[in-house]
Amino acid sequence: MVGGSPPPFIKGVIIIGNPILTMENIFKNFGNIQALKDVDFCCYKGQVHGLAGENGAGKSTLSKIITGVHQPDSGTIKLKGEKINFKNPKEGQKNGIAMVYQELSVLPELTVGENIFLDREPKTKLGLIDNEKINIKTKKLLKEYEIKLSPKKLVKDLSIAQQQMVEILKIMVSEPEVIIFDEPTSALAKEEVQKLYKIINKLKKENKAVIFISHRIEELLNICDKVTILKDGEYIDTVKTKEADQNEIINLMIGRSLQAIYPEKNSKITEKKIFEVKNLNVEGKISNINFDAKKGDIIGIAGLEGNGQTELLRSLAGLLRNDSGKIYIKDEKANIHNSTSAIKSGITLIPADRKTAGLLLTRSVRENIALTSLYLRKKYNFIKLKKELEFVSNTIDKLNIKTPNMQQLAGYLSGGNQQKVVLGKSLGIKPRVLLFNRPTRGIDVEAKQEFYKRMRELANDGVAVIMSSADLMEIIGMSDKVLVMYEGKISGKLIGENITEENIMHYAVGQS
Amino acid sequence: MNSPLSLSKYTNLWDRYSQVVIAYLFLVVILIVATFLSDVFLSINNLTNVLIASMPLIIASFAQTLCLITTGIPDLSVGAIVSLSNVIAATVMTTGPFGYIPGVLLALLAGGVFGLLNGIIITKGRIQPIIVTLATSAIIGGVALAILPNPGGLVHPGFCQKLTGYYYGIPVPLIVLVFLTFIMWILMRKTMFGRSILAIGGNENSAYSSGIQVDKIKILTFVLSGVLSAMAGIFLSARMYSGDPTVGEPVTLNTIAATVLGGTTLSGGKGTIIGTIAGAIIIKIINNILNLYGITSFYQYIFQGLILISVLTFSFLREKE
Repeated sequence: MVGGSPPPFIKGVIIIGNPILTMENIFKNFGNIQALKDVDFCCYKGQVHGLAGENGAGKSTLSKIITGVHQPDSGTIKLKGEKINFKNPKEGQKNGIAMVYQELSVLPELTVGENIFLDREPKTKLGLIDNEKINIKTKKLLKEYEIKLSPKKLVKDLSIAQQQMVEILKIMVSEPEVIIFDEPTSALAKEEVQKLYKIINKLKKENKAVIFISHRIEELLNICDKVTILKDGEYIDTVKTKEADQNEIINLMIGRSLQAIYPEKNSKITEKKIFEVKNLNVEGKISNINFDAKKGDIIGIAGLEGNGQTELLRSLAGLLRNDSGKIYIKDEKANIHNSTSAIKSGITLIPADRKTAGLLLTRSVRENIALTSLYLRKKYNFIKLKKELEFVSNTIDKLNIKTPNMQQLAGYLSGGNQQKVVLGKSLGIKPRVLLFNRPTRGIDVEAKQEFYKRMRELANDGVAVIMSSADLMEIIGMSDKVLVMYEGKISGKLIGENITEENIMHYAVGQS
Repeated sequence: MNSPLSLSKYTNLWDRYSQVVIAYLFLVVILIVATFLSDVFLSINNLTNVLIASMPLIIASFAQTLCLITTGIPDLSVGAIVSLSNVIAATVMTTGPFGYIPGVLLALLAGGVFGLLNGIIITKGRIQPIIVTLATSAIIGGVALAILPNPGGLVHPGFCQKLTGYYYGIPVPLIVLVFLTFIMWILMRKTMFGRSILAIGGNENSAYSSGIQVDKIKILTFVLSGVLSAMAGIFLSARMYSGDPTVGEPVTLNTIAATVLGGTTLSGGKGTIIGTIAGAIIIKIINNILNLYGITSFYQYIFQGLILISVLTFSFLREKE
């Protein structure tokens, strides 16, 4: 690449010297959804390169293309100047590319050492696994990275942060040259984050190329040399962190101000409780949940993944049996023991995964939309088909669902329209409490915006809207009140001005 | 998504009914093949005979269709209930003072009760349907053998003549078939039950979160499956005039082949009654051709296995597409 000709030029970034990895004109589609559109990227040894963008911007897809989990539809990737096309992550690993995933892949029933040396265990002369050696090697490694852990401890007994360290060490054993961290701090407390930074700086000194994915700006400015910003699957810009400021990156990431995406919050404060939960318990999942919703409120449920948010919503919707607790809708006690009774009292859940829990993909849009409210349109056990037709076509019009006709199979619709079908079927019961679990996962920004508007309208109409989300921006942008969950309990409640990223994270990691 | 509305309407129709159309095309092909193999095949008389002969399989396949739509897993007790119902018909109908009526009622009741048993064990015990129906098929088969250890007995002759005869020049089985098909069609298309089983088969989780009472509907499915299987046994008895405790053995396999051939998918949530009729007649004709060529029963078993495998492979490839 270095020669007499002018330096190659990728979208405003002049390639200087020898990047270890370059990607040019990468395209990737998943069905109807364009995940990456003409994206360029390059990174260097001895540098930490940030990848920033909102959920759904394409960060994960891009990194999974680097590791070989996904293959690009078109575009070229070069590693150390050589063209590559990994068919699977194993090939990527062999060529020195490793990734620390958001979801940890450590095996809970094995020890720290066994996990780290999984698949490359040192052998004795007889060809058996040499546990002695594993422990000695692990001890050395732990010392090198200044981690205080016993090699013989079972991974299930470790904290999430410690498990993540094990995962990182496991990757280091293969001596990778490019290491990708996918939102590594999302489950860590402050001190633990510092430890992680230390490891990343050590890698940098060892002349490794580090790619650091995050949507937290402060963090990117702290740890990275450069940050590449993606938005809706497109390359936006690459900035040097020394020269950039926080607002600049935010503007690049979102492309518009926050107010434009999220509808205006509830300004009229009413005291009228429309929904109340008292002392709700589900053994081993959630305990002592108390909260209420006033008319017009959108309640956000925040927290790190797996702290009981989903279980709370599921038990309110009758999908998970609660052991004790009282639920009131407009001062009236609701008896909820299964989904049917929840629906009949006006509570329904828009689930996180519309494909496995919300829709019948192999059935028509009509059948899907009609399903939840079937019981409202029957005579004896016969369905009033005319009424159903009327209801379905009204719903399609009202929610602006883009489908050629109502007989189209739900599986053929785009993500945003599928989500509207899920909403449409819930609206059929004239809900009084609507629960949303990660409502905008995997849908594009425009569809999101429309969905947010709809949620706000429902809240204004007097429906209690309760939303759980892993996307902090969404929680902050939408909620009038935030409940933060930690280990199955509500660890903090925030209202108005107090709803900030810092405050939410404070409670989310269990600090009081 | 921007395709003209009229065109997409046709694509939808094709999406919904392609399985049925393919099943009937296949039926036509089989009829043509059969005509070449035997000169008497294409007479009205013989076609009526084929229909009468197919009735037990068609009705038993209706039972199988309901189970496959709802759970995506075949009900392995269908054949055993056919045997039990046949044995009851051959032992009860001969002696009672009310002619054939107690036998018919008792057979249907037995089918319903064993169906209920299947349904309750599957839903309340959370045990896989395939294991449960395998176990109950052994039990039901044993009960049938206990009632009538060896082939024999006598089914009410007047009843047999009525059920296989003509009514105002129209074959009674045809009338029953049209009537039953109509009922099943209403059930699938216009009732809460029909909509619910399609939903459960499509995605049990989604159906449950949408307020469908999954357990109740599943139990009802197995009860209906039991009653329909018993009805199939009664029709079989009317053709045989006697009882045989193992007569239903090949039926289970054949109903699965017929149902899948008729376009019901093994992933559940998809299938039609009309398609199943074609599937059952095709299987019956293939078996007849094998008989015609004097292929002995061991080889027929081998053929039945092979047919089922080919049908499943075909269905799998079609779905993958």
